[in-house]
Amino acid sequence: MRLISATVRNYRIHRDTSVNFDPSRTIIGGGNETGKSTFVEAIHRGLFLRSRAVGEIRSSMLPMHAAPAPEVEITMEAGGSRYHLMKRFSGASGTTQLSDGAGSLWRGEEAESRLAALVGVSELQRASKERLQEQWAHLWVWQGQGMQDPSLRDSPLQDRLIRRLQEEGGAVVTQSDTDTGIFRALEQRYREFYTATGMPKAGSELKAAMEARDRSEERRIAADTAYQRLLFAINEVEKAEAESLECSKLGATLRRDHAAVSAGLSKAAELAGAIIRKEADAKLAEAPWKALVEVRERVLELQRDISLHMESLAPLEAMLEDLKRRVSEAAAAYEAAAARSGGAGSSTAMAVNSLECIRSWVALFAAEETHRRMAGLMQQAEGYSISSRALQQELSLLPAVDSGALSLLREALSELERADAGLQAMASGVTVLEGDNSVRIGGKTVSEGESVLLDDAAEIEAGGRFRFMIQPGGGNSLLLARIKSEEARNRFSSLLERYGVGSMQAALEADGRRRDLSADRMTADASLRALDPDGMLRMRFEASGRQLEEARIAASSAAGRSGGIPRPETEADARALLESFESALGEARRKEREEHDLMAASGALFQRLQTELQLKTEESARQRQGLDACRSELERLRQRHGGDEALQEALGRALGDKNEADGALAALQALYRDLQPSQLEKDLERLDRAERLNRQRIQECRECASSQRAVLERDGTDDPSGTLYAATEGARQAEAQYRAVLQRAMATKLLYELFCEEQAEDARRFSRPLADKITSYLRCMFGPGLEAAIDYTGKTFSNIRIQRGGTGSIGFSGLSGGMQEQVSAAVRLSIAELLAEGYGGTLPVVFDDAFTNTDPLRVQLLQRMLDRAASNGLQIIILSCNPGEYASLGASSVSLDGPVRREEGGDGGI
Amino acid sequence: MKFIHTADWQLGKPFAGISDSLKRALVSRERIEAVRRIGAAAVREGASFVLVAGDLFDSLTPERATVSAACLAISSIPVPVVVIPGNHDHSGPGSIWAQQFFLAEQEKLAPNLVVLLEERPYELEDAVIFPCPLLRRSAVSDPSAWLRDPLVFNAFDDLRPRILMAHGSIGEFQSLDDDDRVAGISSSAIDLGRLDRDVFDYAALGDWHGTKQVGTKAWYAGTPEQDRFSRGEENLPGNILLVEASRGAVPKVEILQTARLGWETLHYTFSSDSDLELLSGRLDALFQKEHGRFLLHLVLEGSLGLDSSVMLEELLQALEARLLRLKLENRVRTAPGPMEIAALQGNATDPLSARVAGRLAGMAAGEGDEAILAALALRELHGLFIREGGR
Repeated sequence: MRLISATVRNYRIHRDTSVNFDPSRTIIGGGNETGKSTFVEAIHRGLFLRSRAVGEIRSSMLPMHAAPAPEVEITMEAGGSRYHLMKRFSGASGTTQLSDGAGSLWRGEEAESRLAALVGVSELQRASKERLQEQWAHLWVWQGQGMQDPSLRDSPLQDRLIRRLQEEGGAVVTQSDTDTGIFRALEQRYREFYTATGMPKAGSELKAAMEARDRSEERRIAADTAYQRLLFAINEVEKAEAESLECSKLGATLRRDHAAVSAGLSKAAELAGAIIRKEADAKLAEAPWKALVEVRERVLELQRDISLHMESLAPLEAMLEDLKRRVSEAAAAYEAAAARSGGAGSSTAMAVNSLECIRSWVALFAAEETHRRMAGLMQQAEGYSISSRALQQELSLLPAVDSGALSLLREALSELERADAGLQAMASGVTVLEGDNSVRIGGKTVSEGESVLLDDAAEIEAGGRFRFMIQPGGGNSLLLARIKSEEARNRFSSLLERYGVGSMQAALEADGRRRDLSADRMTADASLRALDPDGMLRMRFEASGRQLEEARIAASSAAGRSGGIPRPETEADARALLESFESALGEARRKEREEHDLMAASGALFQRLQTELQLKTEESARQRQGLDACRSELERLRQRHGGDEALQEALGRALGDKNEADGALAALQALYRDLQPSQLEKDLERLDRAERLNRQRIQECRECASSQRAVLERDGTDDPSGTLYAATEGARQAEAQYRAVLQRAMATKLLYELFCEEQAEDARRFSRPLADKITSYLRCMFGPGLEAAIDYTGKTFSNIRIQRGGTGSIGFSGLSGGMQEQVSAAVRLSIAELLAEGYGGTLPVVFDDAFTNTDPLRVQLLQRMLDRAASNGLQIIILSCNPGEYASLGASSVSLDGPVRREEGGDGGI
Repeated sequence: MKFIHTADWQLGKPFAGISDSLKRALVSRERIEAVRRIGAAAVREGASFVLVAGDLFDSLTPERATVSAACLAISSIPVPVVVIPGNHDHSGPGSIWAQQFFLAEQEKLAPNLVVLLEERPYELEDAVIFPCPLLRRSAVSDPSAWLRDPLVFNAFDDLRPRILMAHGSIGEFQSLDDDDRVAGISSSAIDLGRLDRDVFDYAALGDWHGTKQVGTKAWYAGTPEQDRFSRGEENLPGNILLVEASRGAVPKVEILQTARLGWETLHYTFSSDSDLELLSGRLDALFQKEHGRFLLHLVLEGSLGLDSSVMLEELLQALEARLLRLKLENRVRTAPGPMEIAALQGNATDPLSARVAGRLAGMAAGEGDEAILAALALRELHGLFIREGGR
């Protein structure tokens, strides 16, 4: 089907607009509000809205101003024939007229039915705006809907498309009723078992079996626990009883052992008593034997000592004689050395005294020099002091003029000079040019050539004959100047008087003299301070005097001790003597030390020999005393015991008695040891402890058995082992039941999944031709690397997606706005191309401002896609504000900007 | 002198493997009824007493109802019933024999019940019993060891037959079932070979659930009512022994059947779909429409087609309902037959189902869990296909 022309009258903005369409490519241009969209809407209404439509839809078609009913005239070609459609939308009286080129004419309902058949849709008895837009929605891109997903959802043309795809696919791939029924039943069974995510569904047989299995297992565990508790109690009682029996046997053994140990201990106690007695006997027998042994030992010891003493005495006495001789020799040597040492000491003392004397002379010389120097300084200082005092005295006699006074005087003098100058300026000068000395002015005689300055009224007499009264001008001013001059003069005079000078010159001179005297005094004071900065000069001078005196006394005393060494003439002589005497003293001291050392060595030798002699003498005495004592004691012992033989016999008898007593004691002690009484005591402790613990253990066993028996007391209301059998079998059955159900569920799942897989494969095959067409359109724009896919769910097509360059596929909603417009156009063109077969090989596809998001560069590429569609038989109609963008499409262009009869102020949109 | 030798009544056995509580109660009740049948046999055969060689109760702690039912049943036996504890109801701490409610019921209901809890001869009027009771749970030694003391037998020099009572295993025989393992029950070993052959005249043994002679004078009576599926080595369960003994003679032993329930085991392998019908026939012949008296351990192997597999399921469901218990080990593989595969896979009008069936058939032809799942899935698909009116 193809549109040839359309005329729209009285349709909102359009009073009478006609457009002739190109069979393949038409661009309708025009600015905003020129009625492009309204025009194609009117054509759509003409094709799909019944002429007798009333209500809101019809109202929306009316112009703003009163006009006849809207009319739409369409000339089109369908099935090889040309048709002319004329609709007048005048409400209930609307008319439809359809005619073909062969002369057939249809009117009213017949025309509507015929038209519906031509456009391939069912008649819309009750049209709404939405229902209307669904008509040919995939062929008609309304303004602002370019980005909409173009999938065919509940489209009236879907069945046609599916038929076409079946033809394209070359096979009947749709499901039979049986297949559908099986799948529905299977899906229901699957849903009964599983949730949408493939998990066992709550409330399902599978879930119930799983829960039943879990519950059974819980019951089995509980039953097992109860049964094990019972067995535990039985085992505990049996164990306690067996242990109690063992403990009883052990108790008997322990008691037997205890008795045996007690008997052993009694025996040991008896033996201990006997041993004590025998020990006393042995001690009694041992005492006389011990005494005799001691005597014999003592005799032998004394004999040994006597021999030793005698052996020691002989060499000792020889040594004593030798020592005595050496002591006397050493005493003589020591005395000689002492005499030599004393002589050397006297020489040294002499040398010391001489040296001291010389040193005192040297010190005296030094003290004298110091005192002289101090006296000189004292004299200088006295001179500076006297000079300073004289200058001070002179200063005190000078007038008291200083720089301040000078300043005051200068100021007063200046003031006086200024006052006098002022007065003179106002005074009148009178000069006697020629006179005879009789001229008197103001009572004073004025000589010839002398001038008088009059600053007050004065009388001038000349020779007594002439008297003139001169009155200098200025009136009071002169008087005031004179007073001021007087005051200045008086002040100046009083200042001179105050400072005791007669004139300014005298004041200047007095000031000059004062400065000079002050400078001199300061110089004298500075010199004095340099000599005696701390004021102690006199004290030092006096001290040097005292030191001088002391040196004199010391020198005199030293001279006395030295045996009259005379005073040297000079200090240099004294120092030369000093060096000579110091050398002599060193020599004397070295000699003294040598003699002293010799004397000390002789003394030490003498002392050592004397000590040795004393020791040896004492030792010899001791030896002799010891020898005497030994001999005396030996003799006494022999006398007491009747001689050596008698002593030996008595000793033999005593030993026999002692050995007999010791033997008896040893026998008893051996018996006692064999009994190990300490071990027996420990055994007794051990056995007591063991018996106590054994009794304790028996008690514990009884208590344990008693407590566990309480658990075993039953009332017959349940049978733990029977419960365990039942629970175990229940768990087994529940497990088996679960496995059986699970197997069935898994079988159902397998079957369901296989059906889904096969259906998906069918869908893939079914949607392939459409996807191929979409791909070929999009490749016009995006090149050969692009692949498009679309799913067929058995009812609808959906999930359009594209894949480029091996990347992952992108769904429609994931595309940019421009890309959505382009993909949407490709899908629409593909569907239109498939459907066109049923419309005589062609169908119009309208794009009303459908690429507003596509950038201009892409619009150029887009024209390749649109051109391909036109080349494949489709009638492409594009509405655009910018028809220039589609200039390269090679389309027939119509502009609504031209002299089209439209109503002013109309609404261009739907 | 005649007496009845029995053992292993195991009253109160829970039969937890029977999930239906009513059926479980029936099986349990039948053990009490067996005691009454023993009483009837004792009367019929003129027995002087009944010896129960251990395991009168199934557990150490039977419920009061079991104790009462046991005492009531024993009271119906008009001769002394002499019992020793076995490994299931051993003496010692916590044993039923010391529980107050047992002692009270014994005194009130079954004064003829004699429980021998000591290793000491028990004299009856016309026999001397030498009991070997299991005195504690942890007994590991031979309970008959005390008889090795010559003084034990020397005390009796009359003509009364000397009868040993013991509970345990002799030689290789072991009588433990799954429940015993769950409860940690073990058997004691009895070595009668260490006794002089002439000192006793009959050994009444318990523990082995089948009737079995283990020596000239030694017998296991077995359980009077079978309580488990036979495992081949057991033989003749469900009996009691009528013994005629005298001092110094070989005892005469007669086996008397007391069991009423049938514990059957059947192994069956399917080699073709037609075998299903054969199995059905065999089962009908076995049960003779008395399914309510039978417990069946059915082991199935081999493979069946989809239709037959479904039919087998139906058969098994019916058996489950009818029998006291169906213990099933079903290892039958579902393998669609050529016709079934052709019907599913070659179905051109339902291409989706056909392709899925083809894939499943390929998977089912393999091995392992995937093949089992695929076969199950195939069967499900087959069922759905039929339900949806395919074919």
